[in-house]
Amino acid sequence: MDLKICHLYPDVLNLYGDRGNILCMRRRLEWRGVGCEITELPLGAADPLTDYDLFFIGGGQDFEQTVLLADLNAGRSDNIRAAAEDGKTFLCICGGYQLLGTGYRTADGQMCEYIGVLDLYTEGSADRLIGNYAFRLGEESGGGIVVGFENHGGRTHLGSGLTPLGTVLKGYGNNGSDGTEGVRYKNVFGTYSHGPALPKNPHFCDHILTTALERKYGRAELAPLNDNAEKTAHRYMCQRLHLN
Amino acid sequence: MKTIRVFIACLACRLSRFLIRLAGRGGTAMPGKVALRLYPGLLAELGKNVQTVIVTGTNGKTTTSGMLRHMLDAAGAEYFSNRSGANLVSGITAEFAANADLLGRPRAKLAVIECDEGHFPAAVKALQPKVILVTNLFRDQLDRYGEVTHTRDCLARGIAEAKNAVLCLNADCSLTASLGMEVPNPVIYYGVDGVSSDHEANVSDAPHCLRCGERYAYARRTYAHLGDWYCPRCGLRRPTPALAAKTVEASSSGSRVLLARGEKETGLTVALPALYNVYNALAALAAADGMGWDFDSCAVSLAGFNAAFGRMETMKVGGTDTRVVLVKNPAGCDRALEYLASLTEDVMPVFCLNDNVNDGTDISWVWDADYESLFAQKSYERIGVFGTRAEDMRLRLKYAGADDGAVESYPTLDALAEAVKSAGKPVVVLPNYTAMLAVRDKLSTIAGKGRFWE
Repeated sequence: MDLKICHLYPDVLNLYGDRGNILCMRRRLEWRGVGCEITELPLGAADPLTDYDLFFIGGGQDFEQTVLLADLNAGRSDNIRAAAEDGKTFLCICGGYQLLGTGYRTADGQMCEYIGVLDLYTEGSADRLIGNYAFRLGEESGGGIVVGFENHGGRTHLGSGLTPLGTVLKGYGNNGSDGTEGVRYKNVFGTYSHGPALPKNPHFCDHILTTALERKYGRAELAPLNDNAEKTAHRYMCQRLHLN
Repeated sequence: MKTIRVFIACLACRLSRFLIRLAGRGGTAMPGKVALRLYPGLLAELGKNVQTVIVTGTNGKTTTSGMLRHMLDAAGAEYFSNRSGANLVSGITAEFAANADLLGRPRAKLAVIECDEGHFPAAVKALQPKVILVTNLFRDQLDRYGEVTHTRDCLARGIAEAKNAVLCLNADCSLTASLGMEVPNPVIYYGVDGVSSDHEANVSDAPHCLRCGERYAYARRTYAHLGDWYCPRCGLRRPTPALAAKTVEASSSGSRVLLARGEKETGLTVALPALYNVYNALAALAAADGMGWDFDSCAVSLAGFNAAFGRMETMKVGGTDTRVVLVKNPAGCDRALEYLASLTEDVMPVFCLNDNVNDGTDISWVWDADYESLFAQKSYERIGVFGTRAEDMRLRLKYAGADDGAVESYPTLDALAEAVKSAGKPVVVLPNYTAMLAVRDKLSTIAGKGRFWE
């Protein structure tokens, strides 16, 4: 068994320790003897995206996201849409999550069109939603609590046909008002849990890996690992947030 | 009327500082807050007749300020400085008030001021410095300032408040160098010419041209995004430094540098290890030049500068040789990890991670730092972790390839101190900011060193 992972735009979407997620997925596959090949696709790299099982898109700086849109509009967004509709697994964080939507309206009213793979849009605001937070994953995403850190000016609203990734337990999530966090569409996982979202949430990481393996091999079961360090870090943050 | 307000504000400031010190605490910002509440224009008033050099930037502020103080000490000059590291407007105001009499007249007329990037515009506006030094710009405390280009824009706003100030800028940092373009100020650029590394950081903090958005190319890299950068599309490029390190010979105790200043070349000894301290030395010399101090004697004096507080500082803790290396962002952390990897002796590393407000409450950056390189080269019998986010630190090390069974998590400062004392080998502590304050305070008490505001 092996997974081909594509890290999209590591040169522009790489804020806040996003690469921790790639590292986490790689190690957790390696530790189980599952092969893992990681391809970094920077801006301008020609690639139809048909050869990968799992895509990772991280967050970025405002300035760099404008650089990015030109590249997306040059055909890349069609490839992303095709892969998502084909049931390929995506983990998209913060800016990468917003980009999947139809657009972003800045605080001063300017409209910026995104790739529209998913029916969601984001509104900018001057005051950022920042802090440690937690949400409960929906059953279709494996359930359980995810702890993380969010830092976003954008408020994301899901179209009526979309399921959120989870429900907010502490913090803000998608928009700070409707209690939703992230999005789950087919095998696309979008979240505001930025940076190293996966290491402290091994159940979530394994669920994403299993999703990609099942899509590829029909069924997959990942052997359990010694997750003491992971669980201790997870428990510590749950306590800090006064959960359970 | 103004005199009375200055009088009351200065009095309140000094009184509260006296009371805090009497209580044995190091509150360095509070007295300034009190004074500014009483008279918001106080800093501008107190700064009027003082010639100031302001040092800002992500990394190296404290070490570079320490070097500038060391130069002034060597020359016997009278000056004052916010040496405690209280570098917000409140802390800076407290320092100026302490230097003034109750009518606001300064005693020393020369100041070396380290300033936080976010407070830079206000400090510059009030102080109208003679020299502004920007060391570099890296990702740091992102949850506080948003993003690194925002920090750059914040510094640009500050520079616009002082059109006569001499700018001393790191030519090798594209973000910092851009601050000297299209401004009326005189600029002294400094940079490293004689070092070339093929090591690229995990994540570049400045990959794209600020002017046209193209990806920068490098004729030569030093570390992180620093080097001889240029934009292949629009032609924006690293300015030629007026002050350059032509060659650098590094050892575990420091560097020998061949320094070029225009046509003239001289030798320079930097008594602190690692290339980033060569950058700090160049920065300090550029600022000294901008201030009009005697360049040659400043350069000579650097050989005698050991370490600023918690920055490569050494102490003997109950028989254990201990070095404290502050790390607070990926770029600085990578330098510290390179240093750790370069040590030939067997050591015990202790990684400390807090997430207090002064650290930045987001600790995600530890995943950008290159711990993998360290553990690809080294394995340790014992590894310590400590801090409010010790368990996150432990997880980071595990995924970097450290043996999780070798990791000890210290629940208290006392437990950490005991482990250091009984290590039986040298200890290198790598704490972030507030962890450094706490750990250093604890260890230096055992070692018999001064407290941080002294």
